[in-house]
Amino acid sequence: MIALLVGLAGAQELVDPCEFNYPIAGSAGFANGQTGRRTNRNTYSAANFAERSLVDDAPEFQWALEWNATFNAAQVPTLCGDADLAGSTTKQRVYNEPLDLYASNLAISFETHSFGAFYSASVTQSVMGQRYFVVPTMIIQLYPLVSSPFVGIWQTGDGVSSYSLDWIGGAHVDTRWFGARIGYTGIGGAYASVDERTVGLFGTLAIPLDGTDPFAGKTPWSFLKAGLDRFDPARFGLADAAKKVGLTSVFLRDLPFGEAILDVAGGVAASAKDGEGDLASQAADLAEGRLRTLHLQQDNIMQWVDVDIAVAVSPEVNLYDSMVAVHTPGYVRGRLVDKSARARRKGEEGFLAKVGVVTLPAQYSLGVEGGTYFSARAEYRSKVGVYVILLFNDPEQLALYPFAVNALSARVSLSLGPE
Amino acid sequence: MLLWWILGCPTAVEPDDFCQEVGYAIAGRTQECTGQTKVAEARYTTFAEAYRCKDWDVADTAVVHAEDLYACPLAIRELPCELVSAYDDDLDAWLEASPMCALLVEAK
Repeated sequence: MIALLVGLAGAQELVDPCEFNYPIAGSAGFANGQTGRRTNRNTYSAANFAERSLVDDAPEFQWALEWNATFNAAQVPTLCGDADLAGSTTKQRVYNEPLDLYASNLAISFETHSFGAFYSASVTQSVMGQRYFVVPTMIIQLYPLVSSPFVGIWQTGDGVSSYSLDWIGGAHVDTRWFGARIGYTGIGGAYASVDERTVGLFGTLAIPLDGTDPFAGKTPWSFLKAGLDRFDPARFGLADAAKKVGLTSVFLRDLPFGEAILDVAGGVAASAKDGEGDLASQAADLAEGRLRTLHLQQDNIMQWVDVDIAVAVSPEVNLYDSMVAVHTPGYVRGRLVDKSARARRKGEEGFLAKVGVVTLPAQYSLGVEGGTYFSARAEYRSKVGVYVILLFNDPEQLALYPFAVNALSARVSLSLGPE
Repeated sequence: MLLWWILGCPTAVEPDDFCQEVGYAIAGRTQECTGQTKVAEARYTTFAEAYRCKDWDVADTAVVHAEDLYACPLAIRELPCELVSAYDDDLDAWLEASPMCALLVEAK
């Protein structure tokens, strides 16, 4: 992969970085940067992270911390404003500066006698350059993550740069047959999640509570994910078949594309600040963008191999991917496990390597020429709950950021609990 | 560190980038106003076939500063949807959104 990246870098003329950079509006890179920062906020929202990180049938106490970074999500034409003090002249020039997207998340839950409470918070940032300073400061985001309910919600941005803080808190119930969560989001909305524990059916929903009629023409939810999660034949006495065919998942995911999750009112206001014109005209121009993806996954085949297929079904099919992964036995875990199985699998180390191709058609409205790209994903899980993922042209990235060709994403997670 | 360095490097603006941005802006604004991806992509193709790019050296400031050339795609991206609907496939009308457009493209 390094050789590939060196080749990619060689195809472009590299220039010196700039300390004081000013993104130039009008380009596809600038528009993509604005879309990317909103999508980043939606994808790593507090509600989404709670759904993803807090496992079902929760133990008495669990927590999860996660940092995500997507480097080079968009190339933004930029005016350099650095001053050359020695020569008393300016170094003004136009060049392309990479835009990076960051997210820091925290989730905590505790439970006694099947009832409990949970809390989840997120900080998302989009920053041009300054990578050496921004990445180390992600650890400092722990402070706003913990104090968000007391300091309130922050959503601020200028150009393609932004900083956003949001949180949700709620209660959950866990029984042998089903689990349910319901919560309030600091940004102004409701969150609910239900899963049944025989087959593995589940549904998660986030609804904005902004005073408008949720059925007045728009999609009533800001986030929806529903389907079958890791169906395990072994739970129905077919242990041998389960070892061969593995775990089956089929689910639909529906996210806002570009627009803000859970903030119909706030999102319009934020968009008005981003651009020009009055609020009414901005609101009229905002087409309801939804990203709906259908996922088919057969994981743990012969305990070693995963095959994942995802298709974007809305607004139009614009992404196809087919991936094959190899991993250590037991790396992919069933959703529904008893406590003894959970105790056995704690402390297991494992890794996963996935390669494939992803095909993007030309999308000139995004400044994307299209083509077939090499795609790779590497994951490592340590014995002590540290989880590291590297993604390059991964479908998970490109479904969210279709303009982020040849971007690299990194994720580091820490958790205490069954995972 | 190597990956970090490679992916962190700013890159130069190519001479024909400004012109391509005009086509991207037409496709992007069409997509935003109509929600029709195929119409947007077809409009870019029409643009690429009907117009020739004028290359610009970003260091050449004799006529105009490079950053000002983005005024053309910016004006196109700010066209009201009513005008987008009215202009439809008349790309000459689109290119009148800013005087800068004449510096970037010319009809074949």
